[in-house]
Order: sequence, then structure tokens, then C-alpha cells
Amino acid sequence: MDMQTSAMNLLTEDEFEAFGKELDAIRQEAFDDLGQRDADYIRDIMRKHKYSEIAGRTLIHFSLNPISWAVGVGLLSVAKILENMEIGHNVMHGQYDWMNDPELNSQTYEWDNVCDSDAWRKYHNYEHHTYTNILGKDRDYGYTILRLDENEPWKPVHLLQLGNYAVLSSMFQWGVGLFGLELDRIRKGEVTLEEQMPAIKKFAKKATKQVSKDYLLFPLLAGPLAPKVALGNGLANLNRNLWTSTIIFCGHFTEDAQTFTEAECENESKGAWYYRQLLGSSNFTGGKWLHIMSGHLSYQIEHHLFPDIPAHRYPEMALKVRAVCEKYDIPYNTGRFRDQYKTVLKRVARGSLPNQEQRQHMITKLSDTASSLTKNVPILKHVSLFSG
Amino acid sequence: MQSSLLNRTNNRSNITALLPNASSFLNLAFTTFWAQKLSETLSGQLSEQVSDLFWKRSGALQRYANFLLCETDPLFNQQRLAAQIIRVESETKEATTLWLRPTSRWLGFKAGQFITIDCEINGVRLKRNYSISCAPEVFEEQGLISITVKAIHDGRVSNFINDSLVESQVLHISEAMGSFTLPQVDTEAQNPVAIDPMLFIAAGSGVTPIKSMIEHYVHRVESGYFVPQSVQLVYYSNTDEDGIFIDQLQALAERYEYLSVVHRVSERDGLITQKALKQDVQDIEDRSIFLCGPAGFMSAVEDICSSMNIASDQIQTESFGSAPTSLTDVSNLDYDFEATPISVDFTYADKQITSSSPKSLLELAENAGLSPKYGCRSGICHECKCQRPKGPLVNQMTGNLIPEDQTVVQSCITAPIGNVTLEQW
Repeated sequence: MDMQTSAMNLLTEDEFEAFGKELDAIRQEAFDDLGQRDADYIRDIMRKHKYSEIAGRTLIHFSLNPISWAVGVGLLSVAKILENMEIGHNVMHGQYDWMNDPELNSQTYEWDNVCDSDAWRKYHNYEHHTYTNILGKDRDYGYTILRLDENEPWKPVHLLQLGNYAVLSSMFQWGVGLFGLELDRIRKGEVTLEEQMPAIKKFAKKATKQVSKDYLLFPLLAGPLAPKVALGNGLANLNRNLWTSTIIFCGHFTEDAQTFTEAECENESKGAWYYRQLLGSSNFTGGKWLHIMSGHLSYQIEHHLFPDIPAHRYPEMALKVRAVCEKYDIPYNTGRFRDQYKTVLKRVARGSLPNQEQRQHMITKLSDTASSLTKNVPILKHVSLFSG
Repeated sequence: MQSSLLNRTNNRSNITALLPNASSFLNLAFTTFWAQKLSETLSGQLSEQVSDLFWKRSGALQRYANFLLCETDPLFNQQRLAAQIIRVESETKEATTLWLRPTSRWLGFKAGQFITIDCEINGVRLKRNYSISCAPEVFEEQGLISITVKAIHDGRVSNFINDSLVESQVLHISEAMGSFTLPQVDTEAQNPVAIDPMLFIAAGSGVTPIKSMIEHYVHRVESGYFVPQSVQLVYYSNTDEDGIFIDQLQALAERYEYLSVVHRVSERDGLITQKALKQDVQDIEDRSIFLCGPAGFMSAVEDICSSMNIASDQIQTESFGSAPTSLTDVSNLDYDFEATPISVDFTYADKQITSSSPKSLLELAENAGLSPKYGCRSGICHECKCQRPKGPLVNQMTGNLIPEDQTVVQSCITAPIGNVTLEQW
């Protein structure tokens, strides 16, 4: 994408400024209104999380039949999802720091999965939320494993990417945890192993803690029934992984979510930053509990515009954001959950194959190699396969 | 089914009937033995050790247990201290006493100490220190403590306590703290102990720790721990009606000869002066002095004492700090940096710089040679959060002043508009 056709210069500088001011005003209005309603909301969700976690673990532990065990697994899955999405992720963004509650402090909160919270705060809150969808700068875009934009270079390994996606999705917490170690950057030589050692140690510590909780402590408490407890906990983790990965992929990898180049975003104004967040994110619609279970990332657009405003406010803010989008004629990417997810799968599938240009380029390169082979290796001159 | 079968066996033969009886007896003995052991464990020292061992760790089980305990009764909280409001009493037009029943884990207090009260006001947790205004004996006998709070103009917490708290609500509190206490004496001593005669000087709500100390002293004398010595209180209030506890203390002074109370009303008698103090107390030099009141009052008394050559180690003080400045005070938003450069003191790192232009705390720290953690540098990611320094601050994104009781700030978008001190990052 060159500067001429870039999505980033569809508005004039003045328009960007006015647009940015309107979004600033939406943010300020919500911020000034924060109070008891928000505190009551998050405490209510925390109570629901704890009840479902305790009930889930108790049922898994003392279940008398497969049905009560399955209900336990379901409740524990719900608890893990609520904690990771509506509580952990949002608290760590600083959405509830204004409450002065040590339990809800963004800098000290430790969430219930194998990813170390400090690493998460750095690569998610800072890198992903600042450089959203800028190819090469936002490592969240494809998580350095998947090729989700046709302009990215293609490699044969991408042929397997639907399979890779399925594995990533089912192991998502491990993906998220390992991702924070920046192993790709070590490989590229951008950082050294020594520099990453503290992060690696913290990850090892956190992962050990999580694994021993779900697969040692609680199974051991069940004595001879340990296997059913370990299996139940494992299934709950799997459910959480699949769900969170699905929600998160719907946030930036739908068909119409746009990507940007570093050049486009140099010296970006606040208005242009808002604009990029808008074009790079996508929402989906649904009922109240779908929104809660997604941590309100169903309002990914609003989350990216206002990452530190309590997420349960996004539905009311979305009305105002949409009105501003209509005024400036900016596309607002939303749709039904399943429709949006279908376009994600399409994108993952499409990314496994090279684009037109890359195919052309490969064919040219292949035939060049072939002709240079036939020229330089005398025996091959007589092999008809390479002759034409 | 089973019991009827057993009955039939019993009827048939005496010998076979003995067998189940013997086994059930053994069973009973065994159960009783373990039940006894268990109850010993639960009630004895071992149980304390076991529960200590459990609650000292912080894992999933502790979280679940504490959650369920709190859901049953917030006072059962094992991770935070709580207290329930038992009674709310109005002392004056502007002062209210809360009678609190702290959780059984609360360790008690010495007369003159204070606790931190945690109030949630419109979703925001605010902490304030308040002196305990009753004698420790009240806590020992009834399990209750009282704090007395005077509503300050624009004080968020003091007004909230006066207007909004009601009986049966539960607050989070801290253990008692502070060294503004009576001299420590050996409670095992056979004979009553003599301590120096005392002079209490208080103004406004500064009388709260002093009421606790005086009542405690009277208790101690009456129960034979102290030899009665002269104790005098000089109390200043703005008006007659503003005097807190003055009726109770004067009633006490009527009963006990060694206690005398002087109530001065500044509206009528004027502010405290050396002449007035000398007139009220003849032998100031011979007394240990306990001083508590508003900052201006305290510094006036300290000046008087130093001009009377009273050694500073003869005076004990307790300062309540000033009320947080109001949010509507925007006069220093147009701070003229060029005319008066500000000084920023990073005491935690022993560094200091001055700045003649508005800069964020993050930039200032970097200019001073420090390297704090940061991320986006534009107020998005919260990676650069630091403890709120003391001094006037403005949010550069919104242009609003930052409240004094906010505990953390985003250093990349927070700029000092006046001298600030950072005791930690």
C-alpha cells in the first residue's frame, strides 16, 4: 500500500483533528461519569466469577455421575473465561485504577493463566494497543506465526496454517505466555537471550504455579479420584483457550479489518491514531452475556479507542462512536458473531496461499532457476523436462 | 431393611447379639477418640498454628475460603481487618462519633493511637487516619472503639462519614498505629507508679486522642496502677457549640480532683497566646505536654513553648495533616514556569532538578538521569504508572488538576505545576 492509496490520508489534517476532538469528548464524558455504578458492576462480576469457580471445582471434585462432572467443567470454564476476559484483561488496562482498590490495580494484578502479567502489560497494553495492525510493529498481528495479510511474504510453512491456527487456538494460553518471551526477536537477533532471561524465568514461575494448581494441588486433594479432577481442569482450560482465541481473532482479523505500514503512521496525530484503531478493529453483535463473556471485546473498536475506560461502558459509548463515524463517513466494522468469525476463517485460509503477485514471482523465479540449471549443467540439456 | 435383620438376629441368640454390640462399641470408642483429638486440635494451640499456616499462604484455597467467609459475614475477612458500625452519635453540629466493633482478629490499641479508615465514596476508595476517642478499657470490656470525625469544608471523607454512614455498615480498618501515647509503665508492678504531671493542649477535633488518654489515665489511677498526679487540659474551640466532648470532660474533672479542664472559645477569648496559656497553667515547665490540633494552632503552641525555653522532648505532638485541596481550585493551572522555575525532588533516588517549562514526570525523571519504565509515552498503555508525588499536578491530556488523594498517576501525561517531591516511583 503506497502513500497515495493509503487509508490513512482519506481525511484531511483538519478533519483528523476535529474527529480526534469528538472522540476525546466521548472519552472525557464517560471518564467524568465513572462512579459507584462501575464499582458495583465489576464487584458483581467478581462475585459471579468466584461463585462459578468454587461451584465448578466442587462439582468436579465431588461429582457422582458424568452429568454433574460436566456441569462442573462448564462452570469452571465460565469462571476462567470471566476472569481472563472481563476481569483480568480489563483490570490490567487500568480501567479500574481510579477506584484505588489494591485488588483492582492494573500494575499488580495477576491473572489466572500461564502468561506472566508484566510481560502481557508490555506487549499487549503498550505494543499492540499503540501500534495496532501496523505490519512489522504489532506482533499481535498473526502472532508471528500466522500470515493474515496478503501483502506479507509467503513461505511454504503457511500452507499448514489452518492446522497451526487450530493448535494455537486450543493451546491459546501457552501461545499468549510464550509470545511474551519474544523468541522470534531472539531468533532475528533483535534481542539477546540474556536480555530475555528475566522474562523467561518469570514465565516459568507463573506457568509452574498454574500447572501445579490445576494438575497437582486440586487432583491430589481428590486422592484416588485425581484423574477425573485433572481431566476436568484440563477440559476447562481447553474451553477457555478456544473461546478466548475465537473472540480475539474476531477483533482484528475479520475480512474488512485493515492493516497499515510503518511509513503511513509516522508522526501520527491523535486523530489519525483513533482513525487507525477504528479501521483496524472489528465488533460483533449479540446478547448481554455474549458481551460479558467476551470481556466486551465484542466492542473491540471502542476498546481500542478507549482502552482504559471500563469495558461495560462500551455499549453506550458505541452509539456515540457510530454517530461520529457516520458524520465523517468512516466504515464501522460490525456484524453477527458467526458471520464475523466466518470471515476470520476465510482470512486464515487465504493467508495459507501466496497472492497473485507472489505466485507470479515464484513462477518466474522457478523458471529462472530451471533455465540456469539447464544452461550450466551439461547433462540436463538433454532432459526434456527442463527444456521448455 | 438392615436394622430389622439385625433385630431378628438379636432376638434369636444372645451370643451373636453381643458381636455387633462389641463392634459398635469399638467403633464408638474409636470415633470418640478421634473426635476428641479433633476438637482439641480445633480449640487448642495447634489449631492456631494450622490456621496460621493456612492463612499465611496466598493461593486458590485461601481465596475461595476468604471469599465464602466474607459472603457469610464481611467481618470474617481473614485478609483485611473490618469493623461494623454499631452506633452513630452526633457530638456537635459538625462532628460525629462512630462506635465500631472490630473483627476479633484486631489487636487493640493504646490510648492516643489512631486507625486508618477505608471509605468507598462513589466507587473510589479513600483512606483517612482518625484517632480513637474512647479509652482502651471500653474496648476491653465491650469490644467497641469510637472515632470522632469533624466535617471539614470540602473534605470528601469527613463529610461522607458525617452524612452517609449508618448503623450495621462494615468498614475496612487498620491495626492501631502511632506513638502519641501515655508513658509506658510496668503493668506487673506491685505498687502504683508515679509519672510526671501532664498538660494536654488541644484544639478542635484534636481533643479526640486526648479524651482517650485522659479517660485511660483516670481508669489507671482508679485501679491502682498510677499515683494520682495533676492532669490539666486546655482546650480551644471556635465557638461554645463547637466544643467536642467538653461536657463529658468537665464532668470527669468535677469527680476527680487531680483533673482540671479549661475550655477557651477563640471567638470570645481570642487565639492562644503565651499570656493566656500562662494564665491557664501555672507550672507549664514541670509538665509533660501533649499537643494535638490544627497545623496553625500547633505551630503557635510550639512557638510559645520554645520562647518559654521548654525542651522539645518535653512535648509530644500528633498532627492530623491538612485537608486535601479542592478540585475546583484552578488558580495555579496557568503557572508561569519562566518566572519561577519549579523544583522536582526525587528523594528516593537522591536526585533533584529544576524545570522552567512544563514537562511530564517521566521526562523530568529522565532528565534527572533516572530511567523509569515506560511504554507508549502518550497516555494509552499505563506502563509508566508511578506513585502520586506530593505537590500540584495536572493531567496534560485533559488539562485537569489531579486530586491529592489519587494514589497513582500515568507519569508520561502528568506534569507538575509547582514544586513536587517524589518519595518513591
